[in-house]
Amino acid sequence: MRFLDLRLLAYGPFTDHRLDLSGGEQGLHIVYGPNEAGKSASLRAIGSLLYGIGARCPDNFVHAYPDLRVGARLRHSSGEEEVFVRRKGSKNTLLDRDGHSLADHAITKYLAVEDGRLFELLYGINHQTLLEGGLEMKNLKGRIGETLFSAGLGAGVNDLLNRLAEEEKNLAAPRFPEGIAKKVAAYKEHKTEVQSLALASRDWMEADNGCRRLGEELTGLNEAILAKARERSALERKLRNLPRLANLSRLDEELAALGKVVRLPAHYSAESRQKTVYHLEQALAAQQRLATKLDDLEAQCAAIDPPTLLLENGERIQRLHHDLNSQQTAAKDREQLAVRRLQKENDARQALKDLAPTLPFAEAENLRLSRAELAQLRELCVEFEVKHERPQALVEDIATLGRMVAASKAQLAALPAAVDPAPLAEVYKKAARQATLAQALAEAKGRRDSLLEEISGQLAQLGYGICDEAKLAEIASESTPSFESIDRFDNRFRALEQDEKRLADRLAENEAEQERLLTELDSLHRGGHLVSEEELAELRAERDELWLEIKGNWLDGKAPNQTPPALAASYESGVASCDEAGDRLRREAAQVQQAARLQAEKAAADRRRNVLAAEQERLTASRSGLADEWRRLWESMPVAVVSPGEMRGWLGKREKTLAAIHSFVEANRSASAMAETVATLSDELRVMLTGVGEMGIASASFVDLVDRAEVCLERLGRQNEERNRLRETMAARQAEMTDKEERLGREQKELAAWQTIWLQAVRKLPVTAENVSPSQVTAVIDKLDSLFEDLDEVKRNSVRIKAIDKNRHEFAQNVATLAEKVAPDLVEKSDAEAILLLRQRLTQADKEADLLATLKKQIDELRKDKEKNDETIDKARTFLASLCREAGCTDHQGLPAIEQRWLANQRLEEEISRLKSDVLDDGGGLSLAQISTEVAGLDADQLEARIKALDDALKELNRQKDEKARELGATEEQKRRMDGNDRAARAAEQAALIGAEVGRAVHRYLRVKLAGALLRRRIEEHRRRSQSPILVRANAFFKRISLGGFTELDVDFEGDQQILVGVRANGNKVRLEEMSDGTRDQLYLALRLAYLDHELDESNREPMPLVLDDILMNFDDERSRATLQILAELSGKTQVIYFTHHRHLVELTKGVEQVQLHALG
Amino acid sequence: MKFIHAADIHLDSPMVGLERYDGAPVDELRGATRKAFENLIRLAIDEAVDFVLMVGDIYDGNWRDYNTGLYFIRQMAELRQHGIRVYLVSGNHDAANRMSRELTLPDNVHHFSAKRAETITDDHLHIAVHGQSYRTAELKENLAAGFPGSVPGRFNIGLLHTGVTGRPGHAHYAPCSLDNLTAHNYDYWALGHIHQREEMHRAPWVVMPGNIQGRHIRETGEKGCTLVTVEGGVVSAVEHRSLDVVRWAVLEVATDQTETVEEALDLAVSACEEMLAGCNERLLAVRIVFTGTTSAHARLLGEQEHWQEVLRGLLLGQFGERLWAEKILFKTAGLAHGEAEGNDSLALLLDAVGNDHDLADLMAAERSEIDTVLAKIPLELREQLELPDLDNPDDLNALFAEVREMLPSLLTLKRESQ
Repeated sequence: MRFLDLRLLAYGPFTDHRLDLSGGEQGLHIVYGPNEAGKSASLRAIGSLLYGIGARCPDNFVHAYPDLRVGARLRHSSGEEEVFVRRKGSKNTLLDRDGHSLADHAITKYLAVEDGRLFELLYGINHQTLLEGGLEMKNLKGRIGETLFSAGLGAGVNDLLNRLAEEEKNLAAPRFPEGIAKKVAAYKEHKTEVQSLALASRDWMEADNGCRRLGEELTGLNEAILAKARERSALERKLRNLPRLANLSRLDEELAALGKVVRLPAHYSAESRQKTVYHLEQALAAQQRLATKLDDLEAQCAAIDPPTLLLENGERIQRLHHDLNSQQTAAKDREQLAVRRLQKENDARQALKDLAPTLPFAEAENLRLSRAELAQLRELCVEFEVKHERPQALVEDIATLGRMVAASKAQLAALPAAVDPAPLAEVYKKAARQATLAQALAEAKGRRDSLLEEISGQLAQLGYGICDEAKLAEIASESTPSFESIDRFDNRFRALEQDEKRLADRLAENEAEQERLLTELDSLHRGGHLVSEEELAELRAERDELWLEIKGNWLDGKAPNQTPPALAASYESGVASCDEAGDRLRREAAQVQQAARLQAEKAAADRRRNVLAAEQERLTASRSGLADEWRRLWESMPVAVVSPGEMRGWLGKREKTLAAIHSFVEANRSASAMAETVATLSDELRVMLTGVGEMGIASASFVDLVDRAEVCLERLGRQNEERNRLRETMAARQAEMTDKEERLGREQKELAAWQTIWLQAVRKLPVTAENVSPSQVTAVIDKLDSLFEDLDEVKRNSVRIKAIDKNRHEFAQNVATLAEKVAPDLVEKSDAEAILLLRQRLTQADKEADLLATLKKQIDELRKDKEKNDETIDKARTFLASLCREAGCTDHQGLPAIEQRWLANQRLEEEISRLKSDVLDDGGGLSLAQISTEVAGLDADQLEARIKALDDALKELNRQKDEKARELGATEEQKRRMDGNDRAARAAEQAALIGAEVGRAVHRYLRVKLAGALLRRRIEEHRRRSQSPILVRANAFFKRISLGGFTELDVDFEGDQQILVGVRANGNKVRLEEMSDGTRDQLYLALRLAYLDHELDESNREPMPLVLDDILMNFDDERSRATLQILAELSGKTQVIYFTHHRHLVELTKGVEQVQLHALG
Repeated sequence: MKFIHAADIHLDSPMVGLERYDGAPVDELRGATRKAFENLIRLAIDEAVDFVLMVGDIYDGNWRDYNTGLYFIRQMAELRQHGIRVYLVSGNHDAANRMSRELTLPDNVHHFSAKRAETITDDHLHIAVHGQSYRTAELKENLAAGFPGSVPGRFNIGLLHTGVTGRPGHAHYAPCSLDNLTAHNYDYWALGHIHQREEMHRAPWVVMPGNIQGRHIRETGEKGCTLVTVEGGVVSAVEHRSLDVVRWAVLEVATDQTETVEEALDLAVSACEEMLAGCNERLLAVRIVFTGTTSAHARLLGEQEHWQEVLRGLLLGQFGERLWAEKILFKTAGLAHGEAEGNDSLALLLDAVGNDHDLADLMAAERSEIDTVLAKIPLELREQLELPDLDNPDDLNALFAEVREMLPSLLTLKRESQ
């Protein structure tokens, strides 16, 4: 199979890009693509087309995955051709040229292998592959089988063998975690665990029976313990009752000894009796004490008599005594007030004298002003300043402003006349936009000149001689032959040359043949003249003619042309000649035939020579015609006509020059345009500058003009700004002045109104109204304030003195009235003395009255106590009498003896009852009599001994019971653990899971083991079959690639191992691991190519294109060329597509036949 | 009247042949036969059946854990509490197991004698149940012949653990023909022994209920018991009821329409999804077998461990613990690639499988080493593992087919990994 084209429809950076790979027999296609041109993408495209676009294909940076398309036209070795397109996807990815999907196997017959990775491995070689291959050969140390296999299938064989061996070893190893042995061990472990967890039925039976048996034994023991315990408790009871019965009989005796006893009632209490007797004795003693004390108190009461009248008026006396202090304080205040009143009156008189000397003191009140009047006067005083100052200030401001306006006016007048800068500015703006124009113009001119110089040089080289500008245009417009025409002529020349060569070859061949034929004929003829059929025929004709003449003469009597004897002789000789010729012809038939054949061949060769001569003539004519045509093509050109190749070169150079001419014209045109613009702008600037009064600019340059315009515009701008500023200031000041004049008028009016009010207010003061100043007014007001303050205080003091005097009088009156009523002896005393004495007397009376009340209260209480005591005595006597009645005695003195006998009786009865109860309680249901009988005659010591024996027996039984209970507990626990759990079943499940893993490991082991064995066997077979044919081819290749450095490859032995070695020109053998890396890579390549070459010759598999990716990167030029030559030869058998980033490789292909160059991007 | 007919319970028999992998639902798998048996007990109670028939192989023959018996007793006691009687015969596995003879079963269970066929009647239900247990494991006589005639006026049921006329994959015990059975004029023959459910005859009914829980890849599909309803002394309904907690299935994935491995794997995943839909939340233990002719063949077979892992990852992601991929096998074929008989190494590699003689030869050279490794595997495990028979040319061919695809893959894989 080969690619006729590769269609990068939408793939990697390509869109509708087509790589024509149809050239050559199969073609060595060098595809050159610099970085980024898409070399790698086109490489991948080949695999993608044939085997599908990979899932993670990186070629989707321009076209999205669903849009990726790569196509190709393929030719099968049978000659069949088909177009396929591949899209990315998981299904129906193969399409025909119209985009209809095709079955996947439609492409299969074009493929030698069905796996894309295998295709890459077998038919793709890149730089990396070479390095790996070389390295592997080094590792294989030349072992021939593996080395050859590796060359055939790409590097990795050694590695794979190692990997397989390693994995096989691991799987079979005893301790590898994933190995078979380890897993089997785990399986067995779980199996053992199953056994240990499984419950044997015997164990369960034992546990079950054990539980039952132990349960029964335990019950037996419990019963025995119970019987012994019962016996023991009966003995203990008897032991306890023995002393109780002895006590009972003793108590019965004591009771009998008490004799008759009075049974006191239940409520009778000896304690109550004792308490009552005690209370009675106490009460009788108290009765006497109370009577004495009462008499004493009543005597004290009769001795006291307090004054009633005085006590009744006690409250008034107390109040007046209290008022006495206030009276004394008021008297002191009155003195101070009188002094102060006199002082203030003197101050007022003095003030009045200052204010109005003529006015009498009594009329001073006339001068008093109201609060409002005073406030108005104070406010007017404050306003006085303001009302007078404001108009004054305004007048001054107005004057200042007037002066400033005048100054501004003068400044304005001094400025130069106004000029409008707008027109100049507009032109300047236009010119400024072109500021760099002058520079650009100079540069354009420079470029134009240098271009012109360059072009002139080139034109001279091209044969145009010295050219001026006009000539340039002519050259630019003259028509030249196209490259296509050159190619066409080139092809025709080539064809003609080929034809001529072929003709010459054929002429030479013809000549050689002619020579050979002549030689052969010559050698035939050298053995004597050979009779030919024609000669024989001729001789026969002559003979027959003679015979006819003879016959004519003989039968018809015709006269013969010669004499009869001569005729006869002639005829005889003719017959003889004929016979001889016939004989010879027969005898020399072979030679004759050969001669005839040679003759015929000679004739044919002659004919061919003629044809060839005619052909030669035709070719000569064609050549001269073609040469004429070729010359005519170039007639108008100033160059000597030579080969198309050279003419292509000339035309190429001319094209370049033409481009330069275009640049020149362009530069020239732009320079002129710029110059024109500069001139127009300069003129305009000049007119405008003159317009604003600039001088001396007639001869200024464009740049100067632009600068001048800029300066001028700046100046005009400044002047206009100044003018505007002055005008604005002036207007503002004028406005301010007008404003202030208006305000002045208003202020003056307000002042007049205010003065009227001022005069009215001032008139109320004791001053002359005219020209009085605010400070004077303020002073008068202050004085008036002081005057009236003094007067007001004089008035207040008089009122208070009056009030004090009135109070004093009322107090004296009250005291006199009281004294008259309760103590007439004090009427004559002063009120203060009288009230003090009264209070003393009152205090004494109060004390007496209090003592009397206390005594009366004590007497009342004593009387109540006495009554209570009498009552107690009565009650006690009644209670004791009732007790005596109950006890049957007359006096309570006999009661204690009766009580004691009754108590002793009670105690004995209780004790007897308790003992009886104890005996019965402990008697196990027997009556007292039965118990007495039971214990009669028993001995306590004997009983204790029997109890001790029983205790020992019980202890032993309990020990046995505990032991059995423990045994039962353990057995029950054992049985309880046999609970139907699934632990063993789970272990069995685990074992089954691990078992399955063993299966997986074994399966893997078998495959790995057999794969290794198979691979080794295949390597060996391969070596046997291919060693000699491959080595023969590789020999030749390696010799060529190594440029004769190595003359051959040889097989050497290392032990019984065959190894591959290189042989140097001097006969030295070099082992593979001793070769330099580069040489080994080349050897690897030689082997790979030899292998492919061999396969192409021997295999009936569909040949596949060999796809190479920059494999010559580390080869020097010579070795590269040699390799390319080999690839070119290989391309006679299958297509070779070589992708490269390196341009120099393209150079190296020169002289290599079959090479087709392609450029990407 | 309603009763349940179950057989071949094989309590505590493990699930066999499941390859373990990270994320495999080990917990779901645990105690499957017990869970299925508990499902049976629950069904009997929920359906309020009158009695349960258990027709042999309660235990696995070589299983020696008395705990299993104790567990069985507990379950029987549960039925007793609900007043459900159990009629039970021993099968070949039970006969091989001492445990079944030593257990003391609750009084609601009648365990039929092994000496001769006996008949138990129930006057309340108007039934007569005939049955006979296995005496020994390998019972080759026709037990059916010795069964008593039917009791007139009663609903007659026969209990027999038998292979009937012989079924492949099952030992041919207590052999009898269908005619032997129907001749007894019983109303219902409750059979056991064959693990695949089959209604062998109607009027009278002869039913093989199959086992209640599949235990390996040869026991696929629904497993459970048969629920029988009798009205007026006549069978009115015979229904299968699923009891299994793990369902086994073989999924064949035909890859003919696929071009890439990924596509083939996706196909397997969606097929699994479909299969799971019919499983009602049960764990599905599935063997996935890729078949058919595909261009992905070489990659599939060459790197099968890798693809197994990838597919298991996909399944785990999609179905979590609902599915266990028991094994993933590749039995695909490649598109023809010329079958070149060349002299080149490519031909040698691609056509690595030579003739039978060649393989046998190669195998012979490696055999002793392989046998040494295999000898370490206990025999009982080796029998479970479905290992290729190295003396069988077919097995050998299949093995070499895998090896043949492995080599190019291994060679090219190394390339790709760089």
